[in-house]
Amino acid sequence: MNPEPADKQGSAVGLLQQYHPAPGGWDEMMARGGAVRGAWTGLASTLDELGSEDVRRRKQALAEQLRLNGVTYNVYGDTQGADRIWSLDPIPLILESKEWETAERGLIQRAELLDAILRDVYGPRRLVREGLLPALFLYSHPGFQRACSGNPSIQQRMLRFYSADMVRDSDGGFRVVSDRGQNPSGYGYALENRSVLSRTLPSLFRQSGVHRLDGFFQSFRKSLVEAAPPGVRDPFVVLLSPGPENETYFEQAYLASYLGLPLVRGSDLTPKDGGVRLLSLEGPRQVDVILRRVDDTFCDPLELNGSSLLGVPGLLQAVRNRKVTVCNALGSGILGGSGLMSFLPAISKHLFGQDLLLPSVPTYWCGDKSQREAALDRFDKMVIKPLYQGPKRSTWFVNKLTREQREKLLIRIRAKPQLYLAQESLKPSTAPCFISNKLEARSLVLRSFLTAVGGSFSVMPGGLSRVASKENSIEVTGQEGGISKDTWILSSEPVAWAATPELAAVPLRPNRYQGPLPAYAMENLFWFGRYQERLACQSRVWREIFRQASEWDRPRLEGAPDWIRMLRAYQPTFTSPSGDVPGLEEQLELSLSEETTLGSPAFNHTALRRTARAVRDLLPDDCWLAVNSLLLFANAEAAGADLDPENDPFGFGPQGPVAALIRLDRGILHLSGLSGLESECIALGPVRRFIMMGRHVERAQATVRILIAALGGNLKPSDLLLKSLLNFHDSDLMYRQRYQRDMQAGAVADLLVADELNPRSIAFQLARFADELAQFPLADSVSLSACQKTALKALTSVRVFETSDHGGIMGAGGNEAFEHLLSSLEGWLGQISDYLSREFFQPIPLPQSLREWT
Amino acid sequence: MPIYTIRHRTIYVYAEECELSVNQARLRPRELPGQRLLSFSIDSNPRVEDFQEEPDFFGNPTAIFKVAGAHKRFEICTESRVDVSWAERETPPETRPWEEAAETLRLAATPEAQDAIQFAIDSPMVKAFSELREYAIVSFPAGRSLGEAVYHLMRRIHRDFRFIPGSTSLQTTLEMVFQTRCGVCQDFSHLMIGCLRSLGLAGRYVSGYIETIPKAGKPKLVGADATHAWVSVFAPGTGWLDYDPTNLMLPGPQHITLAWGRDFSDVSPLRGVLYGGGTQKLKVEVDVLREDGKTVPAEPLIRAVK
Repeated sequence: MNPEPADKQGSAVGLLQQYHPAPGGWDEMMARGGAVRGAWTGLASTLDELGSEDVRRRKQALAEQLRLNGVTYNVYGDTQGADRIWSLDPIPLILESKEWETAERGLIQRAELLDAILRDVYGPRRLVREGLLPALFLYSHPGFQRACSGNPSIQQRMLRFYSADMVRDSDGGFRVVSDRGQNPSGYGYALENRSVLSRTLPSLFRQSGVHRLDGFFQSFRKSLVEAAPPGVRDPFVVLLSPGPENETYFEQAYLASYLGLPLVRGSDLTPKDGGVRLLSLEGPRQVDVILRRVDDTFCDPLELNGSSLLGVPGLLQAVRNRKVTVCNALGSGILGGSGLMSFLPAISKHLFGQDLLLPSVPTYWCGDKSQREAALDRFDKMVIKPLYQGPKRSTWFVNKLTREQREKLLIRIRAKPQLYLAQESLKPSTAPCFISNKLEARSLVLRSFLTAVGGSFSVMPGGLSRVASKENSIEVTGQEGGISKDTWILSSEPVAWAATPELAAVPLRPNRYQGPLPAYAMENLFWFGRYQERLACQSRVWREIFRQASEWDRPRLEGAPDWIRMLRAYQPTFTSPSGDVPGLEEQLELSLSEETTLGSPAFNHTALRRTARAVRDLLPDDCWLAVNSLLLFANAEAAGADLDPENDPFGFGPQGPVAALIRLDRGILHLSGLSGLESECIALGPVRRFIMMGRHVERAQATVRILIAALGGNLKPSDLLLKSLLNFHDSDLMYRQRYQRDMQAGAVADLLVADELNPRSIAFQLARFADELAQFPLADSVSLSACQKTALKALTSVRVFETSDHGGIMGAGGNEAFEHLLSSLEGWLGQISDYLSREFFQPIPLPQSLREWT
Repeated sequence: MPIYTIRHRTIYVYAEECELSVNQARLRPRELPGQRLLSFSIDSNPRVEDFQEEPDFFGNPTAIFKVAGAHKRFEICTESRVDVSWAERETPPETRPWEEAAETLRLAATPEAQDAIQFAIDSPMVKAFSELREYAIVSFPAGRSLGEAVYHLMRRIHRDFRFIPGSTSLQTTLEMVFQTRCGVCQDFSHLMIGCLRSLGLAGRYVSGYIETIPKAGKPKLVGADATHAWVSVFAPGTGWLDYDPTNLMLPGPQHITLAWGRDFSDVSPLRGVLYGGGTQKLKVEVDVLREDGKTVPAEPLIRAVK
């Protein structure tokens, strides 16, 4: 806590010179009097060397890295909530190992204490009987789950993962503002921050001797194994997620893939034989440990909240049966927030005979008369919080309220005082942040992470620091506008790679099994494939139009109506433009940016990202990177940025037909790149198979629709249209190689529909699809599934269709048989998708509540 | 002392196949000083699986089970034989003034009071609002004995609110009941509990059965078609006192207790989660038969749990 006076005071020039933390507070970097604290000297000189321009460039690179890595944070209730890019300051928080050790001891003691409290309130409730925890407090607490009482988990650790939000008071001592007990988040963000920041300031990072994080995550993994139910030595662990709409979904997928755990949703799990099993492609499998990111009340619709579909009915009973362990234990929501804080010092004395090493920010529970009076006496200085923070996260800073709001709040508190907490509004310490090309002092909250392992707790040597979104504000939230910081704990000894003794001790046997694939993942993989293809096809249609448009140069657009019909095949809402080039351009601009228009490229792009996010844990990093680098449509702002002068040497800007063509070309290229990466990086197996099946179905459907649209009204197809059809299917070269002469509709149709050597033909898609599907083991090995039958029916219909007969079809008067084939194909392709859904994606119907009577 | 045989049948008919259901039942009567459970059996079609029964937080016997395999109809029947020995009561017992009960709860110095506190604060289906207190306080002048004051309150509720079967559902809030002045036994009980809590008293929700055969010269009692509900109030030093606001009576030998909790949500006789099933139709039948010595108890059903 007493950093040595800095020896580099004189060198504070440039960036540092402009840094003026508010007097009277504690600043992380600068001691009172302006000296740079010992741990920060390396950083200070680096900043001086780099200067503000270089730091700006690094910050930009860092932001680009986060965007490519797809690091997001969703904000509830925000329509654009999904996909908010995580914000990371290029300047880390730096702590000396000595002061960190003090905090560490306090954190471990606190975790032990909270675990003991949890086991008491769901067990004998001695703390209530002995007057250390008021009955009114416990029974008013919305986090207290009666149904969890008396279950055998009280005999073991209930708290395996704990995190605490800490601030420093003006003397530099750490204090806890908020405890996180049920499913603490941020572990993955801390890891991601480290991986990005160590690349942003590589030499400083190397020279500073920063504690590594990987050892902690080995403890994390070990803790999950230790949590196994009795008798299970090699537990099957899954990560239960509320789904991609959840605010911290990014890190759930990140953690799942980092730890190698299947990422599942409640609907993938069903009760069975007193336990819980995972339904997957490979059949049901008993789950031993659930690392959950779902709140208590949503975990079991039978016993905890009848209205939720996020959990597993009967989960609590499975826990009672000791067939599965949930981490953290169900009911641990009561530890969250600041509710217990006013009772902790006495409970610590009572249970451990120790003073609380790591104090809380002074907090008052209004259900207690004397505490309430103490709080209301200094009401102006208080932050009022509900006893239990729901998803709305209401917090009132009293000094910011109007007189009227204050009165209202007082009335609410007095009516049900037991539901409110008052916490002293402490001025947190500040740390330098690089904002608007200079250093600003911002209030800081440090979240630290612990995991129970080997009878104690292990503390992550680092953490997730967050700073206030405004200067001079003491409000630090993870919500909108929050900026995070990496946290460096400097080591007193050389930092070594964490050893992995227990993992090395067990000789591994060869394994080629990729792990279970839940229904939810199968569905999203399939659609991930479909949306890539849909977007690519759509872009090709648009590109065809613009390629022709540049040649048109005439008032009438020959061939344009055909293409507009084809566009409509994708985008039913597409309205006919005025028929000239500027009109089309305008339409394109709109389609590229309107995410809400059903079927627009922007809409499909958003859907692609959504499906990719849902299966993030199953995608190789490079594929994920490719998805995020696809700036084609959605996120118009970023797309504009992509065409900034450096990347856009011709200066077209984001508008105009040439720029549109560039965007389309680039988009098509990116999508091909993604497709290539999938072929290169994804192991042969069901993950790849579902993506491929999605692609084949989509591509076949695209061709069917395009051909139906092109033949609409039996018009005699022009050479231009036939050429465009070939272009669209990348088949013009193939055509020339095969025929070396003029365009004939029948020959074109054969190449696009029936030629199985053409990787763009319908026959090719159907044949590949049927092959892929045949790889899945069938429950009934004798007969074919409905999906297989339909795929074979479609394929056979194409194969037996007499192509030579339709030489004239697209010419004079049309060919009914051909049109009939196309419309049959369209129907079958729709059925194939439906059957897949029934056979793979929805193995059991959705749950609902049983009607109750009174 | 009357011995009852209670047959309780519940039938669900689903529009679509239900693949699996997970259920929780509170259908076994509690063992109490004045209530002995002689036998209990439960039978169902299709058969239930993974049947487990344990007391819940409030000590109510609670069963959890599954129904697996596609089915479109689920029927569950229980048969309980209960010996009820409570004395009949016309007037509430002598108690201390009601303010003392409220004070005892506030101080929460004894285990009984600590436990009772949870029945004196908001619960999922009973949330206090200011009109409730205004309504209740009329029955609670300073110094009136608790038992008497609660009886007074019960009488007013019985007078001011109309019993109309089917007038409310599980979605009806207490505020709506208070405004429309009508409801069923569940609403009467929630209302009375809310009134008690608004004064800092502890009120608990009791679910059970009632023998509806009227005594000579008295009207037929209400509550035959399904389970009944009434209220219990905490009287420090005396214990919990039962009141039936729907029938304006003090529960005695005609009331058979199944379970208690803070409100209906704690004691729902049968709840569950179904996979599939579509639209559900539900039928409940309850028969409460007093054994007169001649009646031979029905054959024990196949699955005897006790």
